[in-house]
Parts: sequence; structure tokens; C-alpha cells
Amino acid sequence: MKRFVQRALLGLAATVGLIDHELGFTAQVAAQEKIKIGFVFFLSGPGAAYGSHARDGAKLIVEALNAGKVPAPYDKVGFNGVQIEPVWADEAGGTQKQLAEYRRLVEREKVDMVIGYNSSADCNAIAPVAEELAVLTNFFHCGNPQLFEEIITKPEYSVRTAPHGTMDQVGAARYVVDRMPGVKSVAGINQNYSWGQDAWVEFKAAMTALKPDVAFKNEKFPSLGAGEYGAEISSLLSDPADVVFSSFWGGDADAFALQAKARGLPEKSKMVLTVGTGTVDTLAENAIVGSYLGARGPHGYLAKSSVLSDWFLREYQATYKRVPPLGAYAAAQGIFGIKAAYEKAANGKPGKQKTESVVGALRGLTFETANGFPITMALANGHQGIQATAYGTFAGWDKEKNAAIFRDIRIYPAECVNPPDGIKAVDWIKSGFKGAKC
Amino acid sequence: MTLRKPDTTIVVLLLLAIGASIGAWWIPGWIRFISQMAISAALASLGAMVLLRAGLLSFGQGLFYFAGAYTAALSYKYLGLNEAVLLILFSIAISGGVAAAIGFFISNYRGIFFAMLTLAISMLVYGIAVKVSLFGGSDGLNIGLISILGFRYRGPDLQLAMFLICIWTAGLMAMVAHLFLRSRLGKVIEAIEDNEVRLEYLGTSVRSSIHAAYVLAGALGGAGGVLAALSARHVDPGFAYWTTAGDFVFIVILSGQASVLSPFFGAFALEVLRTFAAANFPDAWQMVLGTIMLLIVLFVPKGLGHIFIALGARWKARGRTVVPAAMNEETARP
Amino acid sequence: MQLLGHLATIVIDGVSYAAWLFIISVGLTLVFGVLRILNIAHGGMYAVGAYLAAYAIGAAAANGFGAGAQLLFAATLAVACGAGLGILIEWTVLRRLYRYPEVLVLFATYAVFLIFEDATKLLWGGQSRYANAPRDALGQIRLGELIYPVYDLAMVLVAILLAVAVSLTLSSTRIGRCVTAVVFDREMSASMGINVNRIMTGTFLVGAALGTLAGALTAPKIAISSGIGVDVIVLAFAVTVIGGLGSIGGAMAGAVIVGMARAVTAHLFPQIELFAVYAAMAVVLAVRPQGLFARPEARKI
Repeated sequence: MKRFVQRALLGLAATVGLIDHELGFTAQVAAQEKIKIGFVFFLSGPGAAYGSHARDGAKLIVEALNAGKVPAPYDKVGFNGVQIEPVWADEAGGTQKQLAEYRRLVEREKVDMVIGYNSSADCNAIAPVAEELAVLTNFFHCGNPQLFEEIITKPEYSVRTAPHGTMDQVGAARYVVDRMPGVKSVAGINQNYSWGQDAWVEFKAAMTALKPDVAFKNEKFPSLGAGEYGAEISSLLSDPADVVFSSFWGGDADAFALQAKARGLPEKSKMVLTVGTGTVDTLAENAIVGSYLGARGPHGYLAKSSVLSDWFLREYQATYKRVPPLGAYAAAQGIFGIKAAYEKAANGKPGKQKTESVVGALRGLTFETANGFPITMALANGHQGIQATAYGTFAGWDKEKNAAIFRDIRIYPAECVNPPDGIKAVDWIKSGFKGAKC
Repeated sequence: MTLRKPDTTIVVLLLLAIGASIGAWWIPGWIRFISQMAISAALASLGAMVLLRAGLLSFGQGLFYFAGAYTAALSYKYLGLNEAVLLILFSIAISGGVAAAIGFFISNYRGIFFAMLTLAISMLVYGIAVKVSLFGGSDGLNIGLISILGFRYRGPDLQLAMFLICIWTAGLMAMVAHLFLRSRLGKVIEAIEDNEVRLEYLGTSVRSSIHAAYVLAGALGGAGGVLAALSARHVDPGFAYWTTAGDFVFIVILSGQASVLSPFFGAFALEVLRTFAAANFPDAWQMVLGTIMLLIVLFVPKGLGHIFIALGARWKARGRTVVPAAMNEETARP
Repeated sequence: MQLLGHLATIVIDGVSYAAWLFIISVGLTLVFGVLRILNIAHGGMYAVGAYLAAYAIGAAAANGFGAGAQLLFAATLAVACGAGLGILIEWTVLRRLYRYPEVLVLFATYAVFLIFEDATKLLWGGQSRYANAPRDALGQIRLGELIYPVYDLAMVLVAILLAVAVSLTLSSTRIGRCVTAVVFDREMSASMGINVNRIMTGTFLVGAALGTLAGALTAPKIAISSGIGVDVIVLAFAVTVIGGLGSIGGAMAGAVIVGMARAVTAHLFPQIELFAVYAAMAVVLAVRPQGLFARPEARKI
């Protein structure tokens, strides 16, 4: 018995030692002062179509910042002169896994902050933990306004530098009404989960507010990742509406665009895709000519030229041999926002800053982004950003320049497409955009 | 069952629970959280194991995981119930009830059709949860701050208290499952896999035995679900997705089905594996996980728990102690 | 008249979807029939086939070949690689596990699936790929009020040809009859002198090749991206189980039921389209607990 217990204990100790070694549980002592950032993007599954670009973008920015190669106003090395050490994690695997990963990043990897999360379910699940563990967490691109309207109403450590998804729907509705004043009927095809469901609700409300007599028909809700839309397209074709609205993204958007085009849907209905520039990124000349496309903000083809945005475009093209997709812009914006706040909080003092003062500096801050349009942290006590947005019409492919042609790009100011502070996004739309400054 | 010889499994369970409770203060928060997830998964897997003993492969344990978790989240949100112990009891009762209702219908099914019907029902519920705004849609529901036995802990204290609650709920549920498996009904369950017709001739109702096992599996799944929900303080329809249920079955495969302790071991092993893979290979964690899974299935097909059994057998042989057959709970299943 | 037109549209959509469902599940059905395992790796084979097709079609198009040659090249490459991977998996994994419970083999195939998921991602990257050239080249055709791509309708033909080919092979060739015998009773077949092991290897090879072929045939319709295999697994399971597992006729019936369920809900009840497949599966199993075309089994006492 005694010998067994001894051996068992020895074995246990060995196993623990191994796990400790393998998982890297033992605390590492930082050789030099660094700011450790956990980056959580979708690296596998359907979300990778978006998250892998976010990672590419973040990697590029982090390396350029560490080398001090980013143009003004971000020309200081790293964050406030301190090098950034990225830790990458995959957002795929469900909220339970993400909660465990988040705690590991914070308590084991001892990251100073976390930038990431694209799924609204993950944002909702993690925000309360971020508040509890007092770690600055930038939910860089999930779109649900409920995050600060319902889940965390008094945020202290959770921020979102990206505008929420409401902007996309309001912008799309305004663009449709601008370009097609006589629009009478609208159909919708959206993925059957919160992103698609919310987008359709908001778009319908926005259209009703702008044109009360517009009729809605044919609301399609295929499941996320369905990939095959034959029946939906038939249905949209047999009773065509003036406009088909869709919030599809990634592979689903591309597949839908290909299939809809092959069956002549764009000839019967005007296609409006809120995340549609992604289809141009991947399908190039096969994307739907004449469709109204957004980019979840004024990214990519809709960006404005500035020293910073031109630098980003150039560097990204040189590194990855392609135009930066919107995920890359979103990641860049997430890092720049925190960097701006970090250096404002430092106010000339060198070295690392306290999380609380960084968050304090971020509240209400306006900072430059990689797409040329600044973001202002205007909502939710300065924890939620707003930005101007843009929509454009895809007009075909320029074979000589090997570039996409966008026409009729309309820019909508931030206060025109985002609610003012203190009112819920949906209520604001239903009020007829009370207080909007267009 | 004798009073003189305490049941080894129950003793081990008690020792583990006491050990973990004392150790809790020294365990870092994130490992405690992973442990809570593992314990929750282990309970649901234990349910899958009970059914597997009857030869029934369930791809529907996720349904009860979902039922337990959502009972807690919905009661918190709409009934204002915020006492952890009440939520746990209520959730176990509801999921057991759901299992009892479905059991009338599902106890007719065997083999792959049982697996696929449980999968279909679970996926139907998943689909409904994604659509219904009462359930929070695909974003799921958050659970705010709860009290534990009337104490309103906050921050790290709450996490520690929740960890203890998880340990003891799981310990108690595992004991219940152990007593069930040791009982006459438990033995009948095992005989079902061998030969149903023979059992019927012996005057046992196979259907009602399966029904009983299914209710226990449901209650265990619900217990796992409510613990996961209260630990994560968030629930989402993914609980009912078929891959969640697949994980539970895999945990049983990983550990073997020798004892009610096995799924706990398997769940911890899987969680450690997953954390290891995700931390070191963010780009290829599925591949690493898959490779290790494959190696385990290929080289330890009876489950990792079998290693312990083999070690135990060797120890017993060395010590030349004669173990009475009745005490030898951990015999590997053929 | 309009109602009739609408109905016709639903039927065409349903049939075209059913054809695709049959193509993705025929390999799975075959493998289940003979080896008695639900092969989760089938979804991985599908994904590999789709990626291979994207590569093949891109390469063929770059060299100036037409749609027919592109598809032929894609199908050949997919079938060849599928068969190779099938042999590899059978030899290295399945063969060692036949004496263990089926659920163990199920998880071995799940592990293989996970490995495939990341392997395709690491090989081809995270972004979507396309192979729409042959589908576009084949043009469109007007059926009733709507236009359909010729390619999608051709898939119905392919599905029928596939069904006929597999059924004929099973019923009228020597090897096919051996397979049928193994499906019916493995031990008895072995004692009659059939090399059961070889039949099992062969079937898995063919099943795997059918999986990659399904991916290759689907590639021109979709965006080929990370994670496309997951949904295919459950759909193929549903089709196979509804049919009663292991019979080609059953798989056809299952495909038609699931296909029609999806088309009807997509047109008339889009809100519940998400779970139409599972509802169909639950209803069929509720009425026929062994699936539609189940063989009666002898009771062993």
C-alpha cells in the first residue's frame, strides 16, 4: 500500500510537472518591459474567412508599430515607446471555450489587454468577465448594440472602438432611398442567427422610417453556412422585390452572390449587401455589377485617402499581395484606438500606463483610423465608438489597373447613421432618427 | 451491499471532493474555471456513460445540458430566482422531467436510430433556441450575480464559492449515479446490451429500464448544464448542438466506462488537451487535438482509465492481496 | 395557374437539392452498409474534394481547357486522391479498430475529420476559393418562369447515373454481390469464402472517393472555405438514417424527403428552414423507428 501510494504520488508529480511544462503554466519573467496583448480572431471555421484577415492586419500593424514605421499620428514605437508582444488565440470553438481562453490569457499569459471577438455571443459572454477581472478589452468588431445597451450598461473595462451594426443598416437604407427614390418593395435574405436577424429588423425599421409606404415581402432565413441558396433564390425570383437586402458575410455572401448572379436575380432586384465588399475582394470581376455594397464601415474600396490610410493600403498590398479586406481594417482600428488612448493617458510620461487611466483617456476620444475616417468614442459613456460610413455601387472591374471600380460612393457622417448617446439603437431608428445630423 | 466495507468509489469521490475543496484556495482562477467546465462536461458525460452501459449511443446529451442551463438562465431572468442551490435543484428536476417525457417515446429505439433520433431532437431544440427571442436567440442569455446559500459573494469570492458548489454537486450526482449502476436496475441495464430478449423472458421490462436510465442521464446532463451555466454565467444554443453531445460521448471513449469516476478523468484530460492545443497551436489546435484523439483511440482503445486499471491490477498482484470480487468495482468492460 | 407555377418551382428546387444530398450521402451510405460505421471523416473528404476541384479547375482554366475538361480533371483528381486517402485511413486507422465497439471507430473518424479540417486550412489558407468557371460556362436554361443554371440541373442527372451505377454494380457484378452478402451477414459471408477484409477496404476506398467526388461536383456552386464539411456530415447522416441506413434506394428516398422539406420551408416557411432537416428526420424516425427501408433483423435469443 505504502509503496503504491509513493509511486502514485511520484507519478502524479511527474504528470503535473509535464503538464506544467507543456502548457507553460510556470510564470515567465519578462526580460524587458513589454505590453502583452491577447488577440482573439476566428482562425478556423467559417469565421476564418474574416478573422484570418483581421489577424493578418493586426500582425502587420503590431510589427510596424514595434519598428516605429507607422506614419503620424502613430509614429511612436509600440504603445508609448513600449514594445508590443502579441499572443494569438482562435475565436472558434464556442463561448465556453472562449471564456476559458480569456481567463487563461489574463491569468496565465498575464496579458495587459485583449483585442478581439467578432461573434456577438462571445462579446456578451466575455464582457462581464472583463469587468470582473478588470482587464481592458476591446471588442473590436462584434456588431450588437445590446452589448452596452443591455449586457454591460455601466462599462468600466469593456470598450468597442468599432461602431455597432446599426450604422450598416441605417447607412444601407439611406443609400437605397438616395439612389432609388421610387423604391416600393424590399425583400431580405439573412442568416438565421442574431447577426442576420438583427440586421433585418433594423433595416426594415430604417426603411419604414425613411419611406413609410415601402412594402416588405419574402424574408428568407437560411442557416449560417448553408452555402447553397437555390430554393431561396427561386423564391426571391418568383415574386421579385425592388431591393434584396442581405447581411451575409464571408463564404455565404460569396456563394450567394455567385448563385444569384447565375440566375439573373440582380436583373430583377437591386442587391444591397452590408458586408458586400468582401464579395469583391474574393470574386473580383465575378461580383455582382450594379449592386450596392457596404463594408461594415468605410473600409477598403470606400476608404478615404490620407497619409495613414495610403500607408496601410500600400503596406498590406506589399505584404499580402491583395487589397486589405475589411477585417484587416477593423483590426487596425482596434489597435490604433487603444494606442491613441494609451499615449494620451501617458501624457509624455514614458513606460507602461495603468489600465484605468487608458480607459479614462479613451472616453470621448477621437482617433485616426486606417480608412481615413476618424472614430469618436461617443456612446455608452465613451466606451462605444461611432464613425462615418459609406456605401457605393460596384461598377465592374478595371482590367488595366486590375482593380475594382466603385461608383456613386456616398458618405454618411457619424451622427447621421449612429444614435445619439443614451437612446437604444432600435428605438432611435423607430423615432425617425431623432437628433440625426446628416 | 454491506455496512462494514465502505464502497471504494464513494470513498474516492468523497476524498476527491474534500481534497479539491481544500486545494481550491491555491488553485489559480483560470484553472478553477477550466475545472468547472470539465466537471460540468463530466456530469453530462456520465449520463452518456449510463446509456452506453445499456448499449445506447446518445448524441442527445446536449439537449439536457441545454435544458439544465436554460432552466437556470430563464428562471434567473424571468422568475428572478438567483439562489444557486435552488437553481441547481430546479434545473436538475426540469431536465429529469424532460427526459422522463421524451423517454416514453425514445425507449423504443436502439442502435444508430437511438443515436440519430436523440441528435435530431437536440438539433430541433437548437434551431428553436436560435429563433426564439425569449431564449436570447443565438447570442444566448447572460446570468447576472447570484447568491450562494443566501450569501451574496462578489468577484473572486463568488468564483471560489461557485467552484465549491460545482465540486459538491458533481460529487453528489456521481454518487447517485454510482448507486444506480450498482443497484439491480443498473445490472439490468448492462444486460440489455448483451441480450434484450433474454431479459424480457426473465420478466424484466427492458423499456422501463431504459426509460429509468434515460431519466438519470437527463438529470445528469441537466446538472452539468446548470453548473456550466452558473460558472460561465452565460448560456447559448450551442449547448444543444450535436458537437457538444459528441464531446460528451468522446469523453467516455477517452476515459473508458469502468466507473463513475471515469468521465471526470476523461473530461479533465480533454480540457487539458484542448487548452494545451489552443495555447500552443492557435492555427492548428483541431489538428493537434484530432491527432492525440486518434492516437488514444488507436493505442488505448479501452480508454485512458484502463491505464489506471492496469496499474491497479499490477499493484494488487505485487501486494499479493486477494481482492474479493465484490469489491473489485473497476473491472474493465469487455 | 400561378399556384401551379409556384408548386413547380418548389418541386424543381427540391429535386435539385435532393440530387445534391444524394451525391453527398451515397458514399456514407455505402460505407455504413458494409462497415457498419458512421464515417464522420466523410465531411472531411468532401472538403478535400472541393479544394482539389478548385485547384484542378483553376489549373485547367489557366491552360485554356474548356468547361468539360475542367470538370473531368477536377473529378479525376478528386476521385484519385479520395481513393488514396481512403486506403490510407483504412490501413492506418480503421483496420486496427474493427474488433472494438463501433462508437470507437466513429470517434476515430471524428479525429480524422478534425485533422482534415486543419490540414485543408493549412494547405489552402483561410480565405474562400472558387471554381465557378465551368458552372458559368454551361449557361442557364429557362424552366417555367424561372431560369436555372444548366449545371444544377445536370447534377440531377449525375445523381441518377450515380445511383444506377452503384445499384448495378451491387446487383450484377460478382464483387457487388459479395459486397451485398457482407452487408447482409459478415460472418456468414466470411465462412462462404468471401475475403471480407478486402471487401471492407474496397468499400471504404470507394466511399471515400465518392466523398471527394461529391465535394468536387459541389465546388462550382459554392464558396470553398474552412468548415464546409461540418454541415455536410449532419445532412448526409440525416439522409442515410431516414432511408434506413445502408441501402441505395433508402438514400434516394431520404434525399428526396430532406430536399423537399428544405424547398418547401425555404419558399413557404422561411423562419423554420433552419430545422426542417431535423424535423423531417425526427418525424420519419417517429413513424418508422428503423428508417424507411429497414431490413427485418432476426432476433437472437
